[in-house]
Amino acid sequence: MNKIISSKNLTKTYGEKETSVIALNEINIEFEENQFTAIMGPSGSGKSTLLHCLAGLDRPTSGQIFLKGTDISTLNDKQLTKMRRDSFGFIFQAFNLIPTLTAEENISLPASISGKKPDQEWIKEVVKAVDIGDRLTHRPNELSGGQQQRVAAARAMATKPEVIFADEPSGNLDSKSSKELLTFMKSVVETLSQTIIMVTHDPFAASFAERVVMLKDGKIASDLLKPSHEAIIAEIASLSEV
Amino acid sequence: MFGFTKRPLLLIAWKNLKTYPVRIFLTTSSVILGVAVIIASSIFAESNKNAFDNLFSGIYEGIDLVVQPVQEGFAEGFEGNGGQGPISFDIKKISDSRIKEIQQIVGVKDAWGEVLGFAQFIKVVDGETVLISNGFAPTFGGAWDTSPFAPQWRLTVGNPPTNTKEVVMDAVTAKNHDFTVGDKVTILAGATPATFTIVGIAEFANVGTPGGASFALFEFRTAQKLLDSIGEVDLINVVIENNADIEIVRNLISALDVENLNVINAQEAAAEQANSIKQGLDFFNTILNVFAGIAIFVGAFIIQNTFRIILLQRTKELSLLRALGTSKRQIYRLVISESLFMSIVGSGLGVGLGIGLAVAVKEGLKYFEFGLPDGPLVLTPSAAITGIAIGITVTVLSSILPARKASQVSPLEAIRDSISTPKRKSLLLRLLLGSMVSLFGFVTLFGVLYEFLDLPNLTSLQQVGLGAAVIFIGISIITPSITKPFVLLFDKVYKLLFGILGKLATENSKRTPRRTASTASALMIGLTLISLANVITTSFKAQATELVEEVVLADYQVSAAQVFSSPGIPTGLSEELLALDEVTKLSRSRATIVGFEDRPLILGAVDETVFDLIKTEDIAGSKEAFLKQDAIGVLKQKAERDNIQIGDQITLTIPEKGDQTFTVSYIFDWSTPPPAEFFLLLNNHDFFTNDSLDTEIYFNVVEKSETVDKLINEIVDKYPGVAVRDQDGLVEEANNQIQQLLNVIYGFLSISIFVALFGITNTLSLSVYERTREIGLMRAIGTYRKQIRRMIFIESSIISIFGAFLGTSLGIFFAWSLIQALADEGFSVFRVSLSQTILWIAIAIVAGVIAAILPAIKASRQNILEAISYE
Repeated sequence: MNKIISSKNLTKTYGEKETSVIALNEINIEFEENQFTAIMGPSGSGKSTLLHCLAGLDRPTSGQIFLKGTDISTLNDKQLTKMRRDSFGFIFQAFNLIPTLTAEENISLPASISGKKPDQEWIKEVVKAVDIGDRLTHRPNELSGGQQQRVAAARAMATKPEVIFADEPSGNLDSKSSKELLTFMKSVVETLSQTIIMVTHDPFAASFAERVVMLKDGKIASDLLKPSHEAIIAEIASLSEV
Repeated sequence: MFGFTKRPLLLIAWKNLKTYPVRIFLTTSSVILGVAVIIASSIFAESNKNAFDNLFSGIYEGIDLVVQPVQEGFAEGFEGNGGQGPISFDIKKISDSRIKEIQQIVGVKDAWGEVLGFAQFIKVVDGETVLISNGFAPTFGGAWDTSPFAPQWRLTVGNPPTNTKEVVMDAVTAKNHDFTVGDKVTILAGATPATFTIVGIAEFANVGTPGGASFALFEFRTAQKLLDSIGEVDLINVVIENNADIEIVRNLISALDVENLNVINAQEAAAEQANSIKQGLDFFNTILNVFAGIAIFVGAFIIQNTFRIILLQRTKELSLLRALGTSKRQIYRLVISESLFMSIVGSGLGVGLGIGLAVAVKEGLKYFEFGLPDGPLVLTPSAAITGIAIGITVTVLSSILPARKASQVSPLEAIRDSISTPKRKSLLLRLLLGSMVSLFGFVTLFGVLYEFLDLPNLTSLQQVGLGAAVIFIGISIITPSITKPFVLLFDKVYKLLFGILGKLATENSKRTPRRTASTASALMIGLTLISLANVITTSFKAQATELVEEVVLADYQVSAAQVFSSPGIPTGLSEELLALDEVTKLSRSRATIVGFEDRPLILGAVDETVFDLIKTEDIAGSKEAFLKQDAIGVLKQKAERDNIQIGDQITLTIPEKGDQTFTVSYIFDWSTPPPAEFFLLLNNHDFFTNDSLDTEIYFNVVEKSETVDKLINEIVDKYPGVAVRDQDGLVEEANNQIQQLLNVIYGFLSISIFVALFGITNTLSLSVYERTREIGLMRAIGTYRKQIRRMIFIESSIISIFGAFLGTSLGIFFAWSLIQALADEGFSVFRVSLSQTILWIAIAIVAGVIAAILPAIKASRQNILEAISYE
């Protein structure tokens, strides 16, 4: 397997001098292509900051991030924006969709703003996979929370991105919808060769991933491959004891 | 130590205002503008009133009585004359022998005559003759007052004129055109120009020269000769002895010739004249106030919107206050106290800006040499207080609704992490109410035009105006309900033009139809008025053009360059033109004053060719009959009014000839403003040829060309004060006057557009704020900043096109109605200038985009993380 995105000495601090808070402390990490990775950690561990920096939504204070060998920490806003549009997909916890656009329009939004014709065959495949074919002409407020997140997932995949970033995608969902979404995410990594990096604090959600990275105080605390639900819970417990 | 404050809410209010000065500026900008216009107009009017008061007491300062010739019944003689034609100074005068008679009356200290006529200074610059005047003010000539009691003109330099070759020039003209004592100057007074030496510069009262007019003051006898008043004066000024009774002296003078002398009390006359000028200024003041009212009205919309924005942005803060135990009432008071503070600041700044505006207007007028009387700018306390009171009242009233809404905020709002969007209320009720109001308006308006409803106590024009106002209010009520259908029109086009950004922008304008509509309404008001003015003037222009083209058949017309400043056309000009081979046909018209039934009457004389060069219409009799020696032609209107028939005998008293009787042989309609009402054939009567001037010349040429143009101009240039125009020139001249008026109106109306711009800025800021998350999301998934800005610009263009479209349509419709209502007054042409209409819509759209710059930049700089984070 090839590494697709990696960080070198990635550090992020907030605030000035005495009052500064270190969110990420010299993180070195690599992510494999075609893998579903979960980043976990207690509140304030820096997991969201890591995701934001990797996804080009936030800038590191020092250190580098490489996307297939390109150092993205040196890009300007315009280049970063283009990268997010063409190489990344996003699923956020809530407010993933533009309320005035239909599900279909939301899915093709990244393609629309890039001015390119969306790949119709691919989108059809994605829509079929998320199972929202009958809701395409509806607006977000006419969709259930689960449906909204699936539309978001479809949008994230619509441009065939290198990496899909998911920030607590199931955070606002009931357990049934949550399971559906995560199952779907797991399946697209396997069947449609996608790469997903997901931040979550929920061990159940993390258990769908192949790899689970635990953060604590801005540092990597553990890195587990194919852990079971129980193994994740045990790891969390051991981390919080220290 | 913890600080304790007795009035925590006031502290919060104060901190808010201190932290966001830009916000205050945006909110108060419309108050500032509105108050400024009110203050400026009031200063302007008040200062002018004062100055004119001074001027008129100046004119009659030291004079007790003024003796004028009786001009009664004279005005009637001019009826139907159209205000053009022979020179209006050729009126009744007083014999100068009366001066001596008056001087001998008991109680009279001194009396002296005044002579007034047209005299034009001429300068030759680089071989070209230049007519000297101060802007558009008239050019006068007069007699240097010889009495030691004559107070009006005071020499600033030099001496009074003592012979026929000397002249005194007014100080303003001397200053504007760099003349000093000792200079030679050419003056056109009467038929031929002559050269004079300037022996003195004089100032009139304390204003330099009355009304900005240029004045050439001659020695008394010279003035009489030059200004066509030999042996006569225009009026006689009288100063009485200190112990004399003014009424007794007045009666004594009057007794000299009760029928022909009118003796008036100078001070009463001063008051009367000052008063009539004041009324003119009051009218101007009223117009300014109307514009100020529009600015304030538009401002009220915007203040309300701005308060909504500010309060929405502070929802969290307010709900936190609520959660901490602040009552609804306290929140309400907090908001009102803030608005009160802003209104005071805004009104204060408005007064300051208003003073600046008044100074600018005054300086501007000075720049154009308008010669308004000098004097200090006066701001009466009552005017300042009124302006401030209006500013405060409007601001506070506009903040009441937003304040009430803000006080309803739930304490939970602070904990909940969402931005509330306005709830949708049904727009059906609005649609019904608006339609009803509009219907009333339409019935009122069409009631006049199609004569099925006539409201009592209203002229048809007033009824149309009322109908239009009611329709306007009705449409304003409806606007939110038609926002969606209107925006739907954009959907397809915008999607095609701008792709997904167009779609997002149209969807956003539909999301809050009320806000979109009220923002558009602000723009609508301005554009309604602008397109109204625009269409009316375009129609008037078209009418004027049509008239000129229809009635002037000649290739060229020669007339006085400025109606009020030149006595006429020297006869040599027509002779020179006729001598040209290229000139095929030429007609002259002249006029003189004769007596008819003991009243003065303008008698015109024309060449036979006039009927080929000007459109006339036979009513009765024939042109052939008119050519006979004793024939007289009568204008249709005069014949109808006085019931004159073909064959009637008319006896006219001709100066120096006595009574002559003519037979009415031709009654006709003269389509341009006719020079007179009775006409003779010029060549039949020698009393027109003695030492006379032409009023107008019309002529045709073989073929128009640049060479012919040049030839003609060379001849005309030799005669100062005379202008030649071809048809295009005539049309252009008529149109220029209308255009000047329009430009003034545009100037005022653009203020309302300017105010509306702030409204668009505010509305878009609010819209951007409400969509913080949406914009953040769009940025996160890869939308460029540039694209976000473009989206806001597109949204703004929808608002401005909506406002511009509604305003323009209403304006055009109102203009059409007004012209229909004026049909009885002879207005028939309704024309819309497509280019002007498109131009103004384009200006509105560009203005809308400019107004969107700030919100667009703000939106594009939105912090992505803040927008998408939930922790």
